[in-house]
Amino acid sequence: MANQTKTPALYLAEYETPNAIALAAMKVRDAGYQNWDCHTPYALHGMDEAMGLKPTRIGIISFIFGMFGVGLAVFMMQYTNAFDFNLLNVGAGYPLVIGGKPPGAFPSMVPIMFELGILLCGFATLFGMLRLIKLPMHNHPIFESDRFEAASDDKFFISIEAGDQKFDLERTKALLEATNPTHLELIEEEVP
Amino acid sequence: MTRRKSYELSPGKGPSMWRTLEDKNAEPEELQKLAQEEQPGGFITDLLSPKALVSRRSFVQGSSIAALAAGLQGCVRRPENEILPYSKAPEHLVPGVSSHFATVTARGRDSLGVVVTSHEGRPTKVEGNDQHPTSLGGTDVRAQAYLWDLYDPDRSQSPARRNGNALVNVSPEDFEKAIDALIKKHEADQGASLRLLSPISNSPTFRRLQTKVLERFPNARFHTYSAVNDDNARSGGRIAYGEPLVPVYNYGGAQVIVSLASDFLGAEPGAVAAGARFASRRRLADPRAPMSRLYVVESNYTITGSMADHRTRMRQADVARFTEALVDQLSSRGVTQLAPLAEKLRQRSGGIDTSGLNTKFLSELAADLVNNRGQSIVVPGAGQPPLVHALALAINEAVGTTGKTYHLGPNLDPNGEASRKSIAELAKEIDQVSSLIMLGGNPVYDAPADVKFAELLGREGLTSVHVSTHRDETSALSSWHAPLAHELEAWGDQTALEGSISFQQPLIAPLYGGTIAIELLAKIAGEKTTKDHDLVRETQATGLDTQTKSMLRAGFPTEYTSDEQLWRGALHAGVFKRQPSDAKALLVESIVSAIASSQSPKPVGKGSVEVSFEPDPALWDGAQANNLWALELPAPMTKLVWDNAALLSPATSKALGVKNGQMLRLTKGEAKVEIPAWIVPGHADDCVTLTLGWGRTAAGRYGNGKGFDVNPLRTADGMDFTDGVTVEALREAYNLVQTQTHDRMEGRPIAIDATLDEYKKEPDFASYRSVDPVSTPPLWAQQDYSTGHKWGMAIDLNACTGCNACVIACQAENNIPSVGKFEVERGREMHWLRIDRYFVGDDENEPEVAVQPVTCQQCEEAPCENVCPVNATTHTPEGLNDMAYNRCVGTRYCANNCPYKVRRFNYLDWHGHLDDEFGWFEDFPESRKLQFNPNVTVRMRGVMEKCTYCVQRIEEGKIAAKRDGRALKDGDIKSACQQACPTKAIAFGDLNDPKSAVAAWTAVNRNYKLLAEIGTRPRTSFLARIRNPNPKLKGNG
Amino acid sequence: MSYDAPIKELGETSLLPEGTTRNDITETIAGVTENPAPRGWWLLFLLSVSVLGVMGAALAYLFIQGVGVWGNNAPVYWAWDITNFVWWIGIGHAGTLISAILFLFRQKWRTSINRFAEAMTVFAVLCAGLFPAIHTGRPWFDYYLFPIPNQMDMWPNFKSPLMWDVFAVSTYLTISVIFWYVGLIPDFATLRDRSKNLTRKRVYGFFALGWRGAHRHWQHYERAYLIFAGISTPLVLSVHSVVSFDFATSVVPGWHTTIFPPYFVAGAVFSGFALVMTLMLICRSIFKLQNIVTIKHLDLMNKFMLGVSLLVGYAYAMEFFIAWYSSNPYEQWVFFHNRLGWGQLDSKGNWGPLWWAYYAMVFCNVIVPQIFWFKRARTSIPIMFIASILINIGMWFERFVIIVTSTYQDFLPSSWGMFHPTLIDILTYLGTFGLFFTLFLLFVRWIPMIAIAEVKGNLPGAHPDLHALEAHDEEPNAAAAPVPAE
Repeated sequence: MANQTKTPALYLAEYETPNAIALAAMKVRDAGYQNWDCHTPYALHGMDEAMGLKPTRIGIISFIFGMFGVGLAVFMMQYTNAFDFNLLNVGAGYPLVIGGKPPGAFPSMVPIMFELGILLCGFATLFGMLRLIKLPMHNHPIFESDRFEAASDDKFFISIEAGDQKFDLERTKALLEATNPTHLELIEEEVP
Repeated sequence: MTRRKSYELSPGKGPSMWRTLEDKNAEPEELQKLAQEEQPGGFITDLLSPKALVSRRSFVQGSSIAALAAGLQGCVRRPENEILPYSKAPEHLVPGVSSHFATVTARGRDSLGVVVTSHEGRPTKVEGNDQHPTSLGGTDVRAQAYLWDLYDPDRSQSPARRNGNALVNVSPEDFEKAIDALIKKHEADQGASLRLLSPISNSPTFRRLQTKVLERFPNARFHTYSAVNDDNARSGGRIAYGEPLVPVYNYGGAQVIVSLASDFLGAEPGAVAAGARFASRRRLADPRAPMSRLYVVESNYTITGSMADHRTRMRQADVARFTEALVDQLSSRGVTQLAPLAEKLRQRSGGIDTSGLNTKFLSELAADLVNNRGQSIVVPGAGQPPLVHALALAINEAVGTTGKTYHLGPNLDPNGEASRKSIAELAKEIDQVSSLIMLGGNPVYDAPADVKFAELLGREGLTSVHVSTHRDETSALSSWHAPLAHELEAWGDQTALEGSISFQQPLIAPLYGGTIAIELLAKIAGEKTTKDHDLVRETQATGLDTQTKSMLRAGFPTEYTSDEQLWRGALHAGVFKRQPSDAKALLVESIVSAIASSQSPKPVGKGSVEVSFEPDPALWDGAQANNLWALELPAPMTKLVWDNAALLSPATSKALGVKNGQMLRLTKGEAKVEIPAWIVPGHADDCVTLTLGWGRTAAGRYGNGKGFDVNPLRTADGMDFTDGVTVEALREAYNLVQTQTHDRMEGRPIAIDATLDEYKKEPDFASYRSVDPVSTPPLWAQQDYSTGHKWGMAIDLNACTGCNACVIACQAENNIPSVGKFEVERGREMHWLRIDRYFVGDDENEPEVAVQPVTCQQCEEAPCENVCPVNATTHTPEGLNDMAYNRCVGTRYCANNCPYKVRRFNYLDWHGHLDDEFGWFEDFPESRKLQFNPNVTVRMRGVMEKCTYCVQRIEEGKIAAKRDGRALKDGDIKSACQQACPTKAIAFGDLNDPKSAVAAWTAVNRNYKLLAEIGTRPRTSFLARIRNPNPKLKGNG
Repeated sequence: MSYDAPIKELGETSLLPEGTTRNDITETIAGVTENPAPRGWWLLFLLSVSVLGVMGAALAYLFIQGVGVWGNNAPVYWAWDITNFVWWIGIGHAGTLISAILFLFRQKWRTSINRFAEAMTVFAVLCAGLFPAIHTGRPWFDYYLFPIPNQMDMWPNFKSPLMWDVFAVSTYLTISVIFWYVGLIPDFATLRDRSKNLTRKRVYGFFALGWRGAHRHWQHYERAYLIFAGISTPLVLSVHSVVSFDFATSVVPGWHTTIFPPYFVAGAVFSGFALVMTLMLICRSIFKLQNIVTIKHLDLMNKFMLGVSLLVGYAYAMEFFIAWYSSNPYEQWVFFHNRLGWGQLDSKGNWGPLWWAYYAMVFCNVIVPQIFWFKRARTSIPIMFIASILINIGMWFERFVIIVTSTYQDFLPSSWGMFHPTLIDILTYLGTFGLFFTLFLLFVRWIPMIAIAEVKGNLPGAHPDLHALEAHDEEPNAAAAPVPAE
């Protein structure tokens, strides 16, 4: 370890109450930081405004994939039951006479269209969300802090990452101290 | 008797058949080599695993078509005297293409001509022979089932001799030595202490050798015994004509038919041809067509009774009185020929007692007979006493027309004895007997109880030899036993009642080296040749020579001239036809004296119950008691499987206070039988019907202990029916199992019928009752089947008698397993084709019966297909509703959605689980595997199956037509059920072919579709049944 | 939106005792997973595991012998297998429905039950899914039911309602699991952060996906959760409609009915609520949730069940009306003979032999709930407990009646039959309870059974009031001063 140098990763300020962190968040927002975040044990309502976040786009993703699911269902059923050509060599579908009905009968396909739409919408929502919030990410410098464990219990934290272009060891520290946190620390990460 | 040696190769001697030119021109040595390569290997022998019951060698003998193909004669008996294929000439060598052979199976003194399908030398299916006068293309239940007996795993497989209480196997040579010793022993005393016992035989060769034996042993004696026999009919013939002549009726030529307790569509000899002829006059295309009227007088409800237009139930004993009263009525209505008889009957003490008879019915019946004089038949039942037969012959002479409505068969067996007398005399003379040779039969089980045959066999110093297919009850008590060859394993010749002679060809070498009756006889008679084929040839050459030639010239094109050609021609067709014999004069005097010597039958008092005996439709007298197909075949009226029961009427059951399945104890003297009761609506009161053939103790693994043995009640003087039996109801109940538990239609339009008058008033009544909604505009574009083939089936309910032949035919053709009583009880029977039987009418004592064969209707808009998640059942362009077994997952959704409930599911591995409990019978006998039809998949556990319209036959037919470069014509393709049907009630073919029978039937106005209102658009349609009641009689008479 | 006060009309005190801190919540809920399991849990667990073993044995026998070991026969090709399937899937409906719908209506008190309601759904659907899989004749070919490209070019038949089932049920299971898991992520993080030993940390850490509680996460997370709630609701309704199509689209009299989809959904919600009720009453007393799930809540649920039972009863009645009105002899037979028994006697004057099943169903589903007209019954724990159990029995009979008494006497009297269950039928059914409770007990033991994060969000002053803050922005250490709850 000794030969390893440490570089600052982020500042971690700790607060006791929702209001405190909200107030602090507004200050950091006004200071114009981008690469920072609030860590709370539950979803604090109103923080979007306090942090000045843009509304999420997850809904659009879900919608698009849901519709894609519907389309996929129609294609799958028509391809396998109503036509006989071989696409991409996945095996040819072919029309069969089933109970004397037309092979491509549409009404009987509605339920599966719906179900597949829901299914893909669900997957899209899950993975879309994980993508947007860049999880899973099992390791993060913030976990270096011993106090941070309380973030999932009852404490509130603001972290400003060194990656932010306005980040400056001194000025950022001053800014955070001005929001009088109950505790403030600099997290460093080791670079080999 | 000589064991068959394998024939050494002798070039030129073999038939001129070859597979390739090389084979033909090959040198003997090469042929030898070929032979070696040919016999052991090959696809046939691969069928047999090491533990096969059939030795590969014997099997190759039987099935060495390959050897035959190469023109070889290695280790085969057949090349020596080859049998000829029925329709497909030597091409039958192509593996996978079946060949067909004409042969014949015995029916007591009658015979039934059949065609047997053979795959690679394995007989797999029995069909009717349309060139044979006793078959006319149809078969009966027993003909369909007897194939199974060939592969019965419990057949006796080696000779045995008695050692203490058990039979120990001996080598065939030892057995032959023993026989030789026996013969030598009797040469001394001219056979004074030698007796032979055999079932009724219809074989000229058998009779020829019989006389030969008697020439060698003048003091020996032949006895004849069959549990189900024609004693009465022959004695009746003796009375009426002085010799044992039996009439053959032409139901097609008759307008009025009266059955005096005769089940001529079921149990009587000649039933198959009878069915065809009977139906010919009932198959109405339009209301104005002539339709015969059938009156039936009987005690049990038989399938003949179910076809009746008027049926009156009475006890067997009363039928005699009814007949006499009928004679009286007729003579009083101006039938002068009968006057002397009526006269005598009235004079006789007691006169004619009509008390308790339905006189209204009687007089209207008589009137109907007189009005249709010259085209009427009166048919006496085999169970009726000789006098009834004689009177019936007299009546027929009067109201019928010889040659038109009936003709007398030739006197085939002038000195044949009556079974019941013959066996009784054997019992009487048993003291003088030291050796008894029994050629088949099972007297210990089925001989009259008072003969006590078991005790006879047990006597000190009696050497008994029993030759039979199974080691049965009789073998167990005999000193020697030898396996008897199956009919399909031996050469033979058989006569039919109407006189034709047919040839029994072996399709396979005896699987277990069985003895052949005529060979054994020849040996005893000391004949030079003891080979069945030569013996038959000899008979035909000498005994029947002239007659035979005349027959053949009548029956066949003249290019057949040489004896050899005649012989081949006969084998090819399977029959020598025969012109009807010229009429005989009726001996009125002898009938009169017979009447005089008889005392007039009295109406039986209420107190005592009459018991009558009937052969089981499938098991017959017990000969087929180990036959799985027969055991699981639902009885036509009761739908009972795996058991027999005491059948009685609802009224009688109330009087006795018994419920279905409750045990009864029938007692006569010290004879006792305990058997469960079964209530049959329409059965006569105060009498009980018992079925023979059940309760075997040494039938085999399947038949043992199934059902109840009723023979203890059967005595020599009461073989048909007996009186004075006391019936007591026991407390315990027995579990009887039916395939159809609900026997009413609940007012639904299912098996639709109408009277002839209604039909005239409203010719398309059927389509009103079962409405097809095709008229309503469809919601989607309909499939177009107007081009190519459009398979369809039509079933004429007016012709169908519900005889069940089609059920077993389907089972044999399609490798359908039997599942056992326990599973049938849970509704899991597998028959693709079932025959629904409904009782019609409110009076449970006088119900009418409607039968309806139901199988897959091949719906054009099949509900089953829509719901199959894996496309395992889909439609072909020809409109067949196909099952892809390999694709089936077994959700059973299709079966739920089938309104006809014709789909069958393999809930368990039926080939491993024929059970009364799970896994009762684990391994599947090798020999039974030989029976399977190679063109039909053997379904595994968890797969749905159903009728396919015999798609394998459809394809076979199409391929054949294509190969011959001709268009498929109607009749090329016959479904198994259609082929088997004796009455031709089923038409199958191409609905797009306007000339096809099925298209014609579909156009008939009484055609309707089952459950049409559901909109399934079935391909199978039914022709509603028409009843032709006498307007002057109400209801059932 | 901020903290909303307890609903006085519901008799809600504030959901948690006054002065409960966030840490208290964490301690109580997470504690359950950390402290050694109580003896009671072990007893129950061993019991249900052994019952699960019984199911294993029954299934083994089934696979070795074939479906024939059940009582299914001809014409009753479906019996207990599909009955159990529909019953379990019905139960599986309430969980997601409750959780999703209450979420959409912003019912805070859902936080007390939604977690185990969802768990119940997942486990019930697992039990349900078992039956279609094992009821086939050749289960090893079940994969034929999925559209897998194969060298035989064989495709499933998408016209078959059974295919729709495959998609509906598998979709439902997947979505339910996801919905459940997404809700769990923050709580897994809590457990991760509290875990003392490395294994726990690794395991929970793995499932927590590295959750840091960052608000940029919370923002997307909450919307995603809302979407799940949004799609789950129609999904729930669709699934049982599709299950009902299995019957409604057939030709079998008694199945071929347009009323089935709503009828089945009502039935599903009915049985689902009944089982939630049963389990909730148990958990309520065990985990002392009396003031989270108040009598008033139970009272409301009982009213709801009364309403649904009236719906179901209406469906029963309507079936009879249609049967009579259609004058279709086959359908009339099914209803008046097979079910009502005396309504139409057969020609021998007999009742339909399975009438008792129909009466059991009506008694449990229609008669019993009527007791909830009385407030006394609605508020009495024992009564509602027994009632909820009876209702579940009744709902099982409903499916049995629909499936068996329709098929055992359908069109052709010649093929009418009867159904008798075998021992294996019974063991297989009981076995599924083993599966259900084993999973449920494991869940209770290892997974926070109440949504920690969400409950915290319901504390007084859980959320900042920005406007108030803007007001006294300038004052120093104002933030430190607690802001009074509105």
